[in-house]
Amino acid sequence: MTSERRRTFLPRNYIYVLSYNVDLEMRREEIGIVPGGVRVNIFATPDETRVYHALGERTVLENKAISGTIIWGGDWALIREDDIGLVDVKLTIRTDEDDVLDVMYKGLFPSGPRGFRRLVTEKPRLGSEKTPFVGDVYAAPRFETTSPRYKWLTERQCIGLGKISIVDSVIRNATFDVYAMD
Amino acid sequence: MNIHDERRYLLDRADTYLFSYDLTLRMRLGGRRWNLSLRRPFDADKASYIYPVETSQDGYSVFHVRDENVVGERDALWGHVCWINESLSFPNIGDSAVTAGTMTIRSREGAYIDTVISGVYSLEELGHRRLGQQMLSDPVEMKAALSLRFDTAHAKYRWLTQTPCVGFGQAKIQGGKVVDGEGGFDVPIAVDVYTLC
Repeated sequence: MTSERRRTFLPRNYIYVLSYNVDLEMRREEIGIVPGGVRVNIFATPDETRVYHALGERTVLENKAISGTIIWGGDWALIREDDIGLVDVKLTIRTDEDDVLDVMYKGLFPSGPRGFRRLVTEKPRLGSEKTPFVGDVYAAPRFETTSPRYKWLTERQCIGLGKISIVDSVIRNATFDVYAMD
Repeated sequence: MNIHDERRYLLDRADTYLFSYDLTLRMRLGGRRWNLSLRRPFDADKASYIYPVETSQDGYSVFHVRDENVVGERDALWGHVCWINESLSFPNIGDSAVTAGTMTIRSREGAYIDTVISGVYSLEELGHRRLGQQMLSDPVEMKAALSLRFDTAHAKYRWLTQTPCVGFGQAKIQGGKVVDGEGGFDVPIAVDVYTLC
């Protein structure tokens, strides 16, 4: 054994890319209790979610910043019995220039102690109209597109940091910031 | 907040360093994908892989860069990577490869931690083309941007299952050659793992 183990950190950087706020449809597919937890499919209200740059900048890494609309999206979620929510999201963005971007990500939603039980069975349910439960969501999005304008984004791994709002144990909306890892 | 209003501020963001892993992987061509895997000596008599015997913290492949034993309010993770396998594919003719794979860490207490890895390896300019020639006279540098999700039944590290993590890494594909699918390249890789919460 030698003492040659690394003792310095590697460089890291996060580059802000875009934000979006999602309004979720009242239609959802409640698959129910499956081995390991509860499965539910949730869908974004189509064509009503804007994708934008929160700081109002027009460029990201010398490329045009993304602005557009989420034209379709869904989350095939599993709320595990250990209070961990696993999100599996696919959505499609149409930019203001008519480019189409496909986004896929898996992520994590720690629902807190007893979160599973409160979401599924217990009363009072999680969150109320007056005081919605706001939880943190973490995701790892990747983008795919044939548009040369956004090819730079397809070559990067991104992270998504978000907040979801829950009322009566039903997810109502979500807001995200997306960063590219560099 | 009205969900239809566009925010003019960013949500809070922070990351906390957890641990690092430094390994030498073997990169082999598998059809249209490249496979990265850990090669560990195999003891045929015992029908098991040979794990190194740790006599000091310098022997661990999973470690804390600053030699600390505590991260926040929890014990730092020290141990070994006993299995890793990633499959790299190049979705286009550029120099970025998408990776998906799994890794198993065995902590120094003997806890097994399963890891799902996804992310992107960014090769240096023209790196993909050089790789396609299946013979490298000079190394190819690449950067790793990874998302890691952990699973374990061990009580001491169960907090990791609730922790979304990212990895920033550097690797170097060493010279060598691949002939008719045989052979491969050694790839020393170093990754720092951070939690986003």
